[in-house]
Amino acid sequence: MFRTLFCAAAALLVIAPAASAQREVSGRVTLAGSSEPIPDASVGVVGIPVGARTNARGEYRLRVPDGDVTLATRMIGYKRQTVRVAAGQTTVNFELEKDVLQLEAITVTGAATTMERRNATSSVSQVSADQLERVPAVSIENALQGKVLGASINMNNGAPGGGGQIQIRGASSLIGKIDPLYVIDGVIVSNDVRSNNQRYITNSLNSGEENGTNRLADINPADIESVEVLKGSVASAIYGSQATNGVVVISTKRGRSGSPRFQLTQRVGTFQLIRNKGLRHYANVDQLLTSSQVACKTPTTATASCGNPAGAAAARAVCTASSCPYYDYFGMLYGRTAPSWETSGSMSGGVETTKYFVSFNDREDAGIAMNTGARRQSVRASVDQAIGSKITANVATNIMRSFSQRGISNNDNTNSSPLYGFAYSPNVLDLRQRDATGNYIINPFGGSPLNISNPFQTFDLMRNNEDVYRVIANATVNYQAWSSARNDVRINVLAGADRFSSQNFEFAPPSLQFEQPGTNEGTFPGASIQGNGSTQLVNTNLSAVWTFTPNNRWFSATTSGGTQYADRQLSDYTIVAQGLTPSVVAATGAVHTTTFDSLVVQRNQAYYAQEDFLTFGEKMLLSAAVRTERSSVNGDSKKFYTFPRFGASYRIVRPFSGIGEIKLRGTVGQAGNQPNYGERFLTLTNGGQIGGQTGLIQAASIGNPKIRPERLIESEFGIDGSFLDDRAQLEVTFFNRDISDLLVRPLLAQSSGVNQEVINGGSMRTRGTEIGVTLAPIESRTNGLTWTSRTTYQQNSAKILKFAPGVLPFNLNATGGFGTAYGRLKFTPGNSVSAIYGNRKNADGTVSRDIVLADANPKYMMAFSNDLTWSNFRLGTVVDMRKGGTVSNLTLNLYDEGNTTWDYDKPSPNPAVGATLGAYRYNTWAGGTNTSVYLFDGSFVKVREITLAYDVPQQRLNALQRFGVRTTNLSVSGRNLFIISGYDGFDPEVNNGGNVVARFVDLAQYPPSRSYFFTVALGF
Amino acid sequence: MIRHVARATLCAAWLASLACSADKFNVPQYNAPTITGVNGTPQALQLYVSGVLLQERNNIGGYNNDVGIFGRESYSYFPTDARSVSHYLIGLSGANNTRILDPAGFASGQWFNWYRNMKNAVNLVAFADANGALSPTQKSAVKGFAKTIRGLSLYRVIVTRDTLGVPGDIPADPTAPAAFLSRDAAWQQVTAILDEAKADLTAAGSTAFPFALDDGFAGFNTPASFLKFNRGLAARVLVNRSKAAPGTNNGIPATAYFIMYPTNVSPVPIIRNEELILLRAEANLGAGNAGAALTDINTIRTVSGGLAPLGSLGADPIGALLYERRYSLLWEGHRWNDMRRYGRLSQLPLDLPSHFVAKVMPIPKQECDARGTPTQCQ
Repeated sequence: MFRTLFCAAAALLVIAPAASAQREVSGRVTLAGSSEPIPDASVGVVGIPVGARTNARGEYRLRVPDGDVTLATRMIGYKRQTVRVAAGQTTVNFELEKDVLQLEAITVTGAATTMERRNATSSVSQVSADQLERVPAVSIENALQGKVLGASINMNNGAPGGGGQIQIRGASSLIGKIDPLYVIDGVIVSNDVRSNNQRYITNSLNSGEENGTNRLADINPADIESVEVLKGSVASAIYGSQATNGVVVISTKRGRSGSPRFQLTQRVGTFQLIRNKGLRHYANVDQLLTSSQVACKTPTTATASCGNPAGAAAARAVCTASSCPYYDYFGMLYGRTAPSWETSGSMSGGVETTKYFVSFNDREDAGIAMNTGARRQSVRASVDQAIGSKITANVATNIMRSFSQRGISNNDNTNSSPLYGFAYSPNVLDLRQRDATGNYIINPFGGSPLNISNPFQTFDLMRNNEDVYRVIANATVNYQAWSSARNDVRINVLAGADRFSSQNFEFAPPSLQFEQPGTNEGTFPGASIQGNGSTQLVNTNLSAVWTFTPNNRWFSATTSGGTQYADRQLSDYTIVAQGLTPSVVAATGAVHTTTFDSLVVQRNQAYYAQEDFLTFGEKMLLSAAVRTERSSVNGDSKKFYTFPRFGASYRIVRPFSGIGEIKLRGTVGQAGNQPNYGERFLTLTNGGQIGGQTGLIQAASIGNPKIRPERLIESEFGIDGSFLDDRAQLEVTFFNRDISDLLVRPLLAQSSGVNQEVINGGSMRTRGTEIGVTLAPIESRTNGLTWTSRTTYQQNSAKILKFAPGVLPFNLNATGGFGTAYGRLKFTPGNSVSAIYGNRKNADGTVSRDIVLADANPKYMMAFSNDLTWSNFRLGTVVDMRKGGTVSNLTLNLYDEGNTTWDYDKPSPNPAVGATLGAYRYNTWAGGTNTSVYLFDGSFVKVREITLAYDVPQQRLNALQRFGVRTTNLSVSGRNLFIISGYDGFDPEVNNGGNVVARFVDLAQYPPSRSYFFTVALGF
Repeated sequence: MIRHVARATLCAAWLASLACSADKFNVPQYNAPTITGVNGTPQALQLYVSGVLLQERNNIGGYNNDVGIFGRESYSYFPTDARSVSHYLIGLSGANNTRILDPAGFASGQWFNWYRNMKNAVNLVAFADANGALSPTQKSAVKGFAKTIRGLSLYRVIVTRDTLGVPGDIPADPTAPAAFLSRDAAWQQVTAILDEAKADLTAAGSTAFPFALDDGFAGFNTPASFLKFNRGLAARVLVNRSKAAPGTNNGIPATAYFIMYPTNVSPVPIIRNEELILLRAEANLGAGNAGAALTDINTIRTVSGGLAPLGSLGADPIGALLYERRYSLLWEGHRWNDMRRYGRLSQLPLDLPSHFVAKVMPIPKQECDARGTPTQCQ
């Protein structure tokens, strides 16, 4: 069928009109109200594919047909302008106004097609380079926070080097993939988190709790031209069965013709702990002796029986009957404000046929704790080359290196995470002290004297390094197969690759307190973990686009089609060595070694076709697309799964005075979510060795040879309007996502000898609303005062509709919370995906177990961006707000259990239950019979960004001009400056399990920080 | 010309994409053994046998730990998680003011793993039956081995669930679980499985096992000698059936401790001669042969314990027997059941007023949920 279509398209090329006589028009494009040139703007003749671009002085030269023509000029970031040019006119100048409301943007609709945003049939979220770069960010997620309507973006914790989750339009899978697909210049790139196997040091439960970094962190935000978030079914025709979670399309900067331009940016700044709740102020020695970490029965007598005699001795040594020392452990460990810096530069230029863009970036973030930090280095080159008049090629290569030291954090069963160690250590000793031999003093507290750590020693001597070298490269060839007044046919071939190796090294020397014999970790004192993961993604696309516009211009029809092949391979190996000889780092000679080796291979193949039909004076767009694809991860790797999409939009231009335009739009489409690699096999489990023989045992979870992709059907309807002379813009979108063939992992009766199976056996529904209001209340040409304000509101909720007969409610291992005592997710038909299950103590003393207590999903989220420019100054702010969404505050639970909480001694609401607030909370929780005690409202308002920038006027730059400096920009910026929240902890944004379908567990994360940077940007 | 180029390009690309053959999409499983990949190989039998042995070994540590805590032979010192104490020693309020263990908590474990090993044994029997390379006597030898371990696994679940009863069979379809058996029926099922194993081992005659057993089975590694192990277990089942570290942790003081299994490769006994002698003593007590029982108990006291022989078993002969069993079989998983079957759980110490002695381990919540919460679930 496709063959017929392609060959029919090719056959149509023979019909071509003869070229007519031509003349030349030239002129200049400048910013309205000033003489500032606008380089690289496109100038074209309306109706025929003829165009030119302006040079660095804003000048263009264009051959146009004889007779009256209409010229249009446009440039991203400015409003388009159309001018009628009489037959004899040869000079046409344009003055463009800034497009602060982004009315003129171009949006992606297919693998090789784009369209003007004003015609889009679904909601579009775009973030420009300027919005991304203003305030330095540890990673792209961080830079996108508060800027993408329809996405919930959260950082997993505060460790340097990134690690965050982007969730688009709420939950759309339970056990399938939950992260969006990331595509950079057409190359499908990896956003995987590689396990560092830290759980072998912390004895935590799974790799989600290891505070890993998702690899989006490697990308240099300064290389990005724009980020477009394809939220729903609009993505289906492009990415089919990987599109359920949305697609983040990143376009990088390309060369522009004109004289070479250089940009050099230097930033200097620092990071600082955003919130320090402090610790308990012990009043006197008796209070400390009776605390749970010392546990003396009768403290006043020196010979009293104490649960922890060493702790009692230490307490008596430093406390008196009326006072105890106070050490601010959080401030001492997480109080570093070491210098951080970033140097980046770019060079671009070229002629009409050859354009280049080269950039470099070197950034170092110093963590707020010693021996933590992140370094990112990158070099990127992009060349655009015209080959003859019909072929253009783009080749780009980006080489990156990311190095991070993230310390140790998150869930822990060896007390090695500092927030665990501090929880069980009354803060009356300076743990930074050394003993006579120069070693850190032994922390005498904790449940048992050895089963505790000295976090200062841990962070001084332990290492957790990750080093990633990565290359992303693409080559694209565009062939203008035919071009005439009525027909335009382009053929596009793309090949892209993403390849990286991630090497990690974790080292806990045997001298650490939590590695001593007798501790949980001390069976084999000392651990060294060394691993390497190689990831390789390759994709090739071939597509053809035929645009047909009849002579009468009643419509324009764009027909496109193509094929895509994608290959993904991940190989990973790790050696965990436990029981190290002092001073030895290598695994050789360790008492106990464990090795891991795994290989994942996945191949996808797809065909797609799309028709965009634009008519009624470009007011109505009808769009239809279909994609069919197969994958090696499906049970039947030969079977093609088909995902169609239909969309329509209609613009009502100037219906009333004061209303510029109202657009009605709607899209209904399907997308999929693939099973995971290996789920289609019936396997056995390697149980280990006995008597020198390997033993194979029944697999706890059995595979399913019939497994297939989940299927999303999304319908989205919306209204966009621009009002008040384009000074106000409103967009409202409602969406409904029904997911069928949901992948579920029901728990079986274990007496069958099998624990779980994986099947397509459920359905769920996510509904939501997205509203965006953009205002430009002040736009004065005389003094250059402009104020642009954007406010967004989003809300969604995901509900599980039903499970197949026999499928019981199930939960995610520890990534979805722990037992009911602490609150956990449990996927149950009829309930919210993010419902938190726990226990409740009823008034009559009975306990209701495993019931819904709260929901992790926020009620709504809002974001407020404001930009104010005046003269050469610009002030930009981004404020992010979350209302509702419950957090399981297990960090607080640790401190209450250790009797060390910041607010432990506040008055108790009921002294009969607990003498002080901390004791009251812990006793009310009662070992988890009353889970709600530690479930907190996660509402917050965060000042994400403030930046004040100053463009130094030319006349002040005389000294620099000698060195060729054209522009100088100075700015001061801050990120995550303030958090306003009643949350009783560091930050409700964090999550213990990394990227999870519903985030809500705060458990000993690396505390989040704020950052300040001073920036000098020079343009040459 | 252009038409030809375009056509040629498009059609070539189309053909190139077709060249991605179906085989390229049939990506194998690289990281785990597949059933089809293993079954045809000569190593398969040994791999399955070792799997059965390995599962028993992997389970026994947790089992001895659990029942050791219930029988107050040991305590878990794991200070980062209070549930390591509360879930074993404090439990939940059950019906009628009783205390029970949390069916969704830590102390509900070792359920799946024992059934998983029964499934391993069933898989092994099925594999042997379908294996043309084995002679009929070799098949019998394999089945005798598999069923003995299956019986042992079923013993472990009924001894921990007692009055609740347990399912006795492994269903072919894992979504259709087997029916619960009452306590007595489950005990009889254990005996029946061990007796079936006996018949198979006997039928194997003088054939050697067509696989290797680990050196824990030295002296019991032929069908004929393995039968002794089988009969030892059967004796334990019959006797049981006839009656139907330093620091502080959550307030439990400890001033002394001992080390029984110093490393994670230390042998953990399944059954020893010492237990067989004690079982004989117990059987003799039950049969009224106090003299014979005293002889056996004194053998244990003098040979194993280095203690003086007793003149008589005194006013509480069962108490004297349980005393010997307590120390002879320390942390081998017997104390709790011994006290329960003689109705003496109340004699076990309570370290804190909040503690209780569990009567049974619960049927895990997952099992209850999967069956729609039958009466065996509390």
